[in-house]
Amino acid sequence: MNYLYTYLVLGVLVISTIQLRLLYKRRGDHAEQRDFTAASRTKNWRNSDWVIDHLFILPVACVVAICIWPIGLFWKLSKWFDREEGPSNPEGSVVIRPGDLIERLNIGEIEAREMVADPLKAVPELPFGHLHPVWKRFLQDCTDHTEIWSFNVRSKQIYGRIEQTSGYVAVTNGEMGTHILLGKKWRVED
Amino acid sequence: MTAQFAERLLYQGENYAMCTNPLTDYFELGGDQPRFVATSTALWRGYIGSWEIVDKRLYLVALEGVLQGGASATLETVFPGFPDRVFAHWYSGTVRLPRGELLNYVHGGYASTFEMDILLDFERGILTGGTVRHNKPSHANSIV
Repeated sequence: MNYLYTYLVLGVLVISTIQLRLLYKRRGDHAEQRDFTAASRTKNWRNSDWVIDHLFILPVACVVAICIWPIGLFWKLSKWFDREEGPSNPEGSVVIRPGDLIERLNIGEIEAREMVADPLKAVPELPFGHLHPVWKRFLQDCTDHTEIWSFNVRSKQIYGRIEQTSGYVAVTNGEMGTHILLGKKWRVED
Repeated sequence: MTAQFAERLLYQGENYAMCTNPLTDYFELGGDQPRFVATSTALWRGYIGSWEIVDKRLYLVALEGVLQGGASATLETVFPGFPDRVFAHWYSGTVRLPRGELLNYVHGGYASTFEMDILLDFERGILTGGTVRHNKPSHANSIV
């Protein structure tokens, strides 16, 4: 029984520490955000959602959190360690299949197509504009045997949404290699 | 998660809160992303961008944020050589500008519902169209 009490007391301490840290960080909230939050909460206490949230869900959540605090602690620590690893791979997880290829182009054609112009000169006069460094990195991975193809990938997402991802991919000996993305668009499935 | 601070947009002479983050798309397309610090639980992305639409083109005109190490971020932090404005040619999608009375506050992201949303569609940074979505059941939607 002593172990159980110790476990629960440790749970209370861990959860309290996390909450206090959140409150401390919230001190930095911009004044506009504090006003916005206060204004919305003034109205909320009158409706049943506020009652359910604060008199039922919140106590239940606290009890659950105290019981499973090792999971919360592990999650918090893993987030802290992940932050040290730096940004994730920006190319994401696009899977390009042969059926997604549109047309084969050479470097000159692509660069002519992707020149960005702006009357206010707010973009470099280079292929791919502000993303020109991404294009340079893409070209570094291309060899004399590489074909560059444009592609368009449609993938079905949750809630009936279709994600369309377009760009250029390096194809070497029939194998899909590195790619550069032009953009992602969402639309609702017909 | 706490409701998040919106971006800012100047459009047709009016200031709007913009519940879309076009700069996130830039980073996802491979643009160099500095290490922003989330100074608040209402600002997990670590920066606030100020945007402007000029002649149907979307521009990023200011960037506020704190970097790891404590330095303040500016537009040139992400776009060296462009201290005043950046054409958002990388962005294709819809930006949402909530307007009117707060109908339902949701303590997370941009999920709160307002009386209406102005939806502006962009293709490679150029405004192609827009609609107004009314979130009160009695109103019909209209085209901007």
